[in-house]
Amino acid sequence: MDRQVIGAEAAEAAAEGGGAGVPPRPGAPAPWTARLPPRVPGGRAGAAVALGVLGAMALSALLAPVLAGHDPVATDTSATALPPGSPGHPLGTDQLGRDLLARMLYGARYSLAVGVAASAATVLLGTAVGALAAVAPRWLDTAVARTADALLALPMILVALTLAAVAGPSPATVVAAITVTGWMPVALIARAEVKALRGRPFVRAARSLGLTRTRIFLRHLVPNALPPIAAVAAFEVGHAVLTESTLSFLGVGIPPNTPSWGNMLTDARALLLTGQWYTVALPSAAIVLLIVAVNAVATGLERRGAGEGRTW
Amino acid sequence: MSGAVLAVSGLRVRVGGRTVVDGLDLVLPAGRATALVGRSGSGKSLTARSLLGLAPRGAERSGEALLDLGGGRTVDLLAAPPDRLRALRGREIGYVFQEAQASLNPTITVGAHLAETLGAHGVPRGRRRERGLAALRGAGLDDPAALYRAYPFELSGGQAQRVALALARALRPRLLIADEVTSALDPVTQAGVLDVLRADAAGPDGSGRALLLVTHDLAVAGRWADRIAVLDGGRIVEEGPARAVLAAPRHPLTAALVRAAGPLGPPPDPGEFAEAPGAVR
Repeated sequence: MDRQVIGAEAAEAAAEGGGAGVPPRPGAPAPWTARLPPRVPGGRAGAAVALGVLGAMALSALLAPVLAGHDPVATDTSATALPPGSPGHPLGTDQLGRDLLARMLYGARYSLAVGVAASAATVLLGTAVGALAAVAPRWLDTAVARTADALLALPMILVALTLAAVAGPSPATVVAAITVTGWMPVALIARAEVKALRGRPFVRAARSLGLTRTRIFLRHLVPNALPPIAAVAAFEVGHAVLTESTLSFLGVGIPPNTPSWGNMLTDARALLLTGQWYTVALPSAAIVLLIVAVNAVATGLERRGAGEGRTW
Repeated sequence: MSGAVLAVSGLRVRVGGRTVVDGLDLVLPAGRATALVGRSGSGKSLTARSLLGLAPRGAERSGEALLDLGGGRTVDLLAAPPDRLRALRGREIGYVFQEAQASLNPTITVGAHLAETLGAHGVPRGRRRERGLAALRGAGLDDPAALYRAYPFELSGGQAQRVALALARALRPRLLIADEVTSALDPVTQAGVLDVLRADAAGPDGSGRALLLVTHDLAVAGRWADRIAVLDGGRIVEEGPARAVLAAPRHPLTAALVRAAGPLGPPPDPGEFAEAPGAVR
C-alpha cells in the first residue's frame, strides 16, 4: 500500500515538474514506479521477518552443542584452512583446523549473551538515572543532563577501550564498558518523557488523592515513560553487539581463543588477502545480519507506537 | 465558626509575580453545596488547587484556610507541612478534575486506581476491593465488578467522570471539590454526576460534609448549589443563597452572568463583559 502511495506521489511529482520528459499516460501503469528503491525492511512484515531471524539465531546459539558436531576450540592439524563445503566441515576450518561452524555457533552464544546483558544493563541504568533526574532537584537534574551531554561528545570507543584495557578482558568487562558508554541516550529520553508526564492530568489527580511521591514515580510516571524507551532499547542491542565485536577484535573484549564473532574476526584479520575470505566473511555477515534484524525490530516497535498517536 | 467545614480568610496567591487570588474569604458550611462561580481565568481553579497544595510550582500562598477535622480539631491547610497535606488529600479533601479520562493513568485498571488510593490511606489490603466496588456503586456506576477490571481507555466519558468521582469519594472526605466536572458531559450524565455530588453534601450522613462546585455555568450552580459565591479579580464579589443571588444579583458581574446564562433573558451587550468592574487584568 505504501509502495503505491509513493509511486503515485512520484508520478505526480514527475508530471508537475515536467523534468522527467515522459508525459504520464492516463490508465497506463507509470513505468518509473518500478525504479523506486524497495522499502527498507522496517514495516510490519519486515519486523516479523527480523524477529524470525533473531529467533533462529538465539535457537542455534542455545542448541550449539547439538548442532556443532565439533569442539569449537579443538585444533586439528590434519584439516587446516579448509574451504566451506569440505566434508565434515560445512563452513570450513581456520588456520588451526578449528571447525568454523562450531565457532560460529558458540560465538553466537557469547555475542548474543553479551549483547542482551549489556543492552539490558544499559536500559536499566539509563532509565533509572534519567527518570530520577527528572524528579530530582533542579541542580541535580541539570548536572545529570550535562554529564550525559558531555559523555555523548566523547569518542565512545576510546572510553570503552580504556575501561576494558584497565579491567582486563572478560565478558563482564565488556558488559560494563558497553553500559558505561551507552546509558546516555536512554537516560535523556527517560528524563524528557518523565518531565513531560509530570504535567499530565493523571499525575495531578494521583497527587490530589494523597499518593506518596515514591508511589507516583513508580506507578504513574515510569510505566508511562516506557514505550519510547522500549524502542531505543532495541537499538541498544545492536549497539552492544557491535561494541562487543569491536572490543574483542581489538583484543580487550572476550578473552582470546574463546569463540566470539569479534574474536573470529581478530583471528581472521591476517587472512584477508590470502584467499581465505570466508574466515572474515562469516562472522562479519552474522554481525551485520544481527544488527539489521535488531534495527528492523526497533523500527517496527517505533512505528507501532506512532500508530497509537505517540510522536517521538 | 461552628458548622463550617472549611473557612478561608484572606487567601492570596501569587504566581510568577502576579497576584491572581487577592484576599479571598469563603466559608463552606457543612451539609451545603457551595458554587464558586466566575469567568474563565478568574482564579477559580487556582483557588481550589491552592487549598490542597496543588498550585503550580513557585506559587506563593498566604492567608488562612481552616479545615474542621471533627472533635474540635482543625488544621490550617496553608500552614500544614507537605506530608500532613498529602495525608489530608484524598482522605479529608476529595478533588475531582475536569478532564476525567486524562486524569486516569492509562497503564493501570480502574480497580488498581481504587486499591492504590485506599491503600495510600491505610485501608488494609483485604478490604480494598470491597471498598472500591462500593465506591464505584456509590458514584452511580452499574456493574462495578466489570468496571473494576477495565482500563481507562475502555470507559466512556461519563463512566470516566464517575470513576474519577468514585476515587475522590472513596474515603468519604469531609470536603469534596468538583472542578468544572460536568463541562464535557451531556445534560443527562451531567445531572447524574451532580446528583451524586449533591447527595454527598445533603445526605443523611452528610451533616459534616461540604461540597465546593467550581463552575462557570450559572445554570449548574443555580440548580445544584445551596449557596453561590462569585469570584472576580481574585476576590469574592458577591455571596449568598443561590436563589437570592440568581433572582436579584447585586454585583454587575453577577448580573451579567445571570443574563448570559438565563434562557429567557436578553442577550448581553457585546461590551458588557469587558466593562464589568473588577475585570481580571
